[in-house]
Amino acid sequence: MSALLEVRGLRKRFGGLIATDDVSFDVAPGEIVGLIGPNGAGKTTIFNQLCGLIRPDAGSIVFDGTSLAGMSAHRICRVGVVKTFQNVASFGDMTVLENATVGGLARVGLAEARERAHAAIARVGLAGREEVMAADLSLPEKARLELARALATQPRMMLLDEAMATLTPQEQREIVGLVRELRDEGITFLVIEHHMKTIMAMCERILVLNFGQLIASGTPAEVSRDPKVVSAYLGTSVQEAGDA
Amino acid sequence: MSREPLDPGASDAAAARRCRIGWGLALLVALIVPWLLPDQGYSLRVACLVLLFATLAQAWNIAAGLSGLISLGHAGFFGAGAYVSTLLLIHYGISPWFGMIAALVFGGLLAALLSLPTLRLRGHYFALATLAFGEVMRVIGNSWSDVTGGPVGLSVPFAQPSFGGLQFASLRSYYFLFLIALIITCLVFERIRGGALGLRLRALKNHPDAAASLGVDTTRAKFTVAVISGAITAVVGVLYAQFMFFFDPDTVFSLAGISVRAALIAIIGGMGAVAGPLIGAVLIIPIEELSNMLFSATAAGLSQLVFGALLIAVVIWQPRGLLALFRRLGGRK
Repeated sequence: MSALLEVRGLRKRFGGLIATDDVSFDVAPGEIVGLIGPNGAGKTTIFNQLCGLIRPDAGSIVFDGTSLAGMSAHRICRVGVVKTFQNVASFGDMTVLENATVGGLARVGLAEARERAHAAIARVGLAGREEVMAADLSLPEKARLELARALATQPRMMLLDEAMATLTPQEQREIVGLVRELRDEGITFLVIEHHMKTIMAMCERILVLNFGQLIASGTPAEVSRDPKVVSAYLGTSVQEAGDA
Repeated sequence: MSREPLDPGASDAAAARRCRIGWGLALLVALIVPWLLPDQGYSLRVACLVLLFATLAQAWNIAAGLSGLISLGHAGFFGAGAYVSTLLLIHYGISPWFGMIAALVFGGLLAALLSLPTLRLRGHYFALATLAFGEVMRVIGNSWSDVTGGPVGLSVPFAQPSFGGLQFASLRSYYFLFLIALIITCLVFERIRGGALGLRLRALKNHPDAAASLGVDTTRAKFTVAVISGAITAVVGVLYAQFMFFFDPDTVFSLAGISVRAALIAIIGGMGAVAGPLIGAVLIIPIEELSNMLFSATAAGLSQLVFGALLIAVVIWQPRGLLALFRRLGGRK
């Protein structure tokens, strides 16, 4: 199957730090791919280049035939790639419905955007909370709102940047279930997550990043046995890191 | 136990009804006030200034209140409007009504030009860049004497009072003219706030990166309101010139008197809400005028001190403006 997202030779440098060092990978349509690595490995920097918040120094990003490198964030969203944010970035003084409607406006006018927002809110299990201020939501609800906003843009690919960081294991399982369902409905996922167990259970394929370089790629079982991955996590096995 | 009604829709409807009653009462008061005050009197003049500065602050609020970009250069548009219409009137005898249209276009163009370099700036940097713009306009007004008359200023030529000439014998006429300008500006604000553009602006004010990732063209959204705000501000400058009959660069391009005052009125009243600039203007302009009157002989400049103290008090105790305070006192969230 040909790749939906094709990243080749991606490079980004911040002063003396090479944040992304010649990174290449593919994501096939309908995959759920995890991106893991120690703190500071450059995971979020890659996401920010994919969604247009940071301009790559070199390399190509091709999404279904469209080159994304150097394109601005709002246009990348309209191409069909949307990112959710690490520390919950909901628009606090706007209602749940207004938050999601902003996503809907990426493609359609206000009235239809509202309908799409309602649908997205119901889809993530927030129905009935439409008129609540986003700032008043609980943490798991905020995580769901992140997904609803992104869904309302009608994406073909979602980049989840630690969407579950603040959640309990039970809440994480619920979100994983939701992501699986959305994948079955045709959305492709690239996921950053710190909870090792969750990401290993969630993803069919894992990319491992260390010091800006891709050091391993494979099934969860393969990468957790890979000696390079094990040493990147400072000698602890991935299994132990997940248990800790 | 919750005191809210069980049906949340009912409380929304009640709030909306209270809101409509509030606006109806405010409009009623605004319509009655000029008939209670003596025509040609000082108090009616202050009432006119309240409306004029409420309009100015509302025009500022359209860009700053919704997008969060605090401009300290709106005097640049305000003064430009005053000069454009007055120069057209002096040299070509063009009615200030058409002068307003010219000011609208010129103010919008100026805002568009200013936006090119400034819209990528955030927070304090944007404020400083716009402040510099206002000061540059003041310097141009003072030094380009061939056109502007320089520091001496310009006088609006007296004519027979007429609607077409935008000069009136009665202060009440100015009052109602300014009231209409204020209502139109409030409607423009509400129209933008309640629409797609308003949602985009509030989103980018909260979190610019998240907004951009959700498909919001943040530069375009900010550009649009900056141009609308600049254009309306220039028209307010025309009204000011027609009301004052005389102005100079240091007055209409004033940092303290126009740019900062517009911002303060909106901030003290409550930024980003349509009622904010109205509350701010009703409170601040009379206090300023009163303290000017009371202390001008004994302690000139005390009004600025009062002004500063008020601002500090609001920023410390009620940073979201007096509107938020009123809402809390009214038992609403």
